[in-house]
Amino acid sequence: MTNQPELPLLDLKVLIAMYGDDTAATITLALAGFRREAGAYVQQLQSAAQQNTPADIARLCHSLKSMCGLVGAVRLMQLCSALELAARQQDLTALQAQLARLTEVWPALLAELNRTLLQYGNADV
Amino acid sequence: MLLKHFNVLVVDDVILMCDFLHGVANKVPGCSAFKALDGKTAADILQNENIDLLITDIEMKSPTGLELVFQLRSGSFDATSHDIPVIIFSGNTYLELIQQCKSYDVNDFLAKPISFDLLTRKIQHHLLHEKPIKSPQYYAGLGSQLSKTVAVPDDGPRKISVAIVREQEHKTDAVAEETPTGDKPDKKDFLFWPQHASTGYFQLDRRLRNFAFNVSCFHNVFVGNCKPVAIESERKRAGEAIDYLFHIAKNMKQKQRRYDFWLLFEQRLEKLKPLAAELAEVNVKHHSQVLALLKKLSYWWMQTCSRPIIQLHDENDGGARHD
Repeated sequence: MTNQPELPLLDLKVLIAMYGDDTAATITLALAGFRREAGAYVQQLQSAAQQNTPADIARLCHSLKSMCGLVGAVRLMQLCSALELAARQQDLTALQAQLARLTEVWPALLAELNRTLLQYGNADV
Repeated sequence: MLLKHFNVLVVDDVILMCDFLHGVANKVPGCSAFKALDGKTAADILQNENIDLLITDIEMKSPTGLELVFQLRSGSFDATSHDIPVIIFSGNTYLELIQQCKSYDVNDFLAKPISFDLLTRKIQHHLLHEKPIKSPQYYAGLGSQLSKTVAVPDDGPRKISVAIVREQEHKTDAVAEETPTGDKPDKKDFLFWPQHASTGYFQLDRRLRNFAFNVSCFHNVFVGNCKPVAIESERKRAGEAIDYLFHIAKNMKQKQRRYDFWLLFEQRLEKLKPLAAELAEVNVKHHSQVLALLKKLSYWWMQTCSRPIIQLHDENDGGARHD
């Protein structure tokens, strides 16, 4: 067990620094795009996990990780990094443990995304 | 006003990332961006558009970013020059990947995440600072080693070889000048490309600059009484630079609209053709013949590097487009 505080689900400072723009239009465009694309990746990831294909898991986690880094989805990025490493090393025990975490982190992030988008005026939730 | 324009291609299989890169590249003054979500689409764009800078992710479904760079460097694309700057990026900075990128003379390797500011700076830097790139044949020869790891062979005593390092620099003067005595060949080049000059086509500017550089190298080794093998080598490079100028101009002309410019430039190229043939055949032992040829090349250069084919522009005018 570690006593390290958990990373934030969504850090908008990261997104603003990455895009070099703090306007509501940019934030909502980036977050809405992320929500749409990351959702599809999470589904594919769960499917790859069921089929037990570590190469696909590693590839999907790699892409998802870069998306998370772009919008400041820090906790999911850390999880993807751990998942990618476990998949590449074919460490099935670590892989299962991290995949279990995904079922908690992704819904929480989705809720945070919806809340933030609503706050910035995007009613399409 | 004649303005510079750059075509930038961004490639990433993640839509969000690709859109981000595309947005950044489009905001760089003087740039317009193309985007591709896979290597195949990227290859099509490189084949059909005159791209000036490639920005690509490594890890994609085949062709991967590295395979794409290999195709580019080995001269597989008609409309895009093989020696354009390449920025490659990845979420994973494995040593082997970096070594492979290095072997293809990739201009920059970036680790994700990449911010707007960083990428903007990198694009501007690499469009203004040239890196010497080897011939397409050289990179084609590397192809078979693409998947092999780099290893140091242990095959007995090491052999020592010596190479002449030639680096193209941006010159600040704006005249073509002969130095027939060759007393200070390293201080002033025989031909140079005027600073802030442009034909309005980035790729054409690069080829003309390359022409001036290689003809100057030939001139310098000749008047410097270097060994015949060095003179032959520089003669060959100058010939290749002329061939590549013809090749690029031919590909670009078919897609461009500046009829007056292309009419004039075509006339200049026609006058260069006999000089290129003479360069290929001249006996480098005949001093007077070579000097006469160099004089003709210098005269051609002075006539070509003048209005209306090239125009000087202010660096701060934001650059302009014709491509």
